[in-house]
Amino acid sequence: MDITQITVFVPVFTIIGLITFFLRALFLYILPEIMENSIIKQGLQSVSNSLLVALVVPFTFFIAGVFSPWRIEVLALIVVVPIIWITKKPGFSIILALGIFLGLDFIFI
Amino acid sequence: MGIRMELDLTSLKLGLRLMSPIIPSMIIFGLIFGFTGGNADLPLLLVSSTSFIIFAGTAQFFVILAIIQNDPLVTIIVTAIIINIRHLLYGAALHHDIKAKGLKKILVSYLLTDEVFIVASEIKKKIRVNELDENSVKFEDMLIGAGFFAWSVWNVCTILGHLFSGLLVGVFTFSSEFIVAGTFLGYLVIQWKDYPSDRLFILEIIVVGFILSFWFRSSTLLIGILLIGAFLAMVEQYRENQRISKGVT
Repeated sequence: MDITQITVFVPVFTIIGLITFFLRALFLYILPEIMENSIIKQGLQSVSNSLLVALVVPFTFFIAGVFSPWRIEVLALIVVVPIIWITKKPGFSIILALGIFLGLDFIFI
Repeated sequence: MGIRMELDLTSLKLGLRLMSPIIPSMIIFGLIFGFTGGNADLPLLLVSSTSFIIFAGTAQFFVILAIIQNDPLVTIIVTAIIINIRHLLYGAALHHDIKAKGLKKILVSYLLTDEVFIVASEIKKKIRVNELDENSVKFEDMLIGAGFFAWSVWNVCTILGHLFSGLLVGVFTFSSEFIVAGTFLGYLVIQWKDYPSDRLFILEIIVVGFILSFWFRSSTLLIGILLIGAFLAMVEQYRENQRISKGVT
């Protein structure tokens, strides 16, 4: 890799860095009235739940190091959101979704 | 017009102290990240620039892997953004706790990583159980202290991992997926330190993770650990309830 490629990638990193900053800052600055953050707080209040978000979300899109958003597991993660909304039980819903997730992995892969 | 930002030294130190149990895990992850770039003959400037510009470990890891695989630039950008979308949740969860404005709030936004969020959760827990007096410390300053410590360690370890990538070849022989999972499990050190009653559970999780890693990879390994972990947590909770009810009667 030469210096030309570095000049290509550094602007890419800057774009990613700026968007990452924006993602972190957005709801710190503005939280719309419609968003009830007590549910999010409840979901993330323990270290293990934070780990779940930090681990499962990125790894859902990366199976064996390959970026693949069009997977049935991603659908399972999307489906869990209304389940949490309806049942009002985040812990149970997440476990249910993960169970389905793992089952699908065994059936289809 | 000068930019002024007043920081409370006691809160900064406290943030730094709360971050310290997570640091060994970050050191290993940072070394592996630098090693991955160095081992693929990517220049030090390129690898280390991701650490101080992006500062989001998992996203950086996959950006570097995508560069190694010659993925298109659009894929690299979209990938990194999708991985970092979870940070929206952290911002939403801390919205009412961050009172600072101006440069201090910008700094908190930049430093709000997974690790800093874990420290934030710990601080709030300590305030809830009266281990920490809310009025004697500044929440934002503690986060800045913790975040700056993490940022420094992460950047130094990235550079060291790259510089010594030739020497580390024999050390990092595990698959990257197992290393990433293992490193995140290292974040449970805080739980281990502060809540002795959770130690058995953490040990069980680590043993389960290690055993499962012989058969499963990637997300299946993580989901497997979390599912069995959830089951073990319920068993532990049941046993705890039994103990309490026996003690009461």
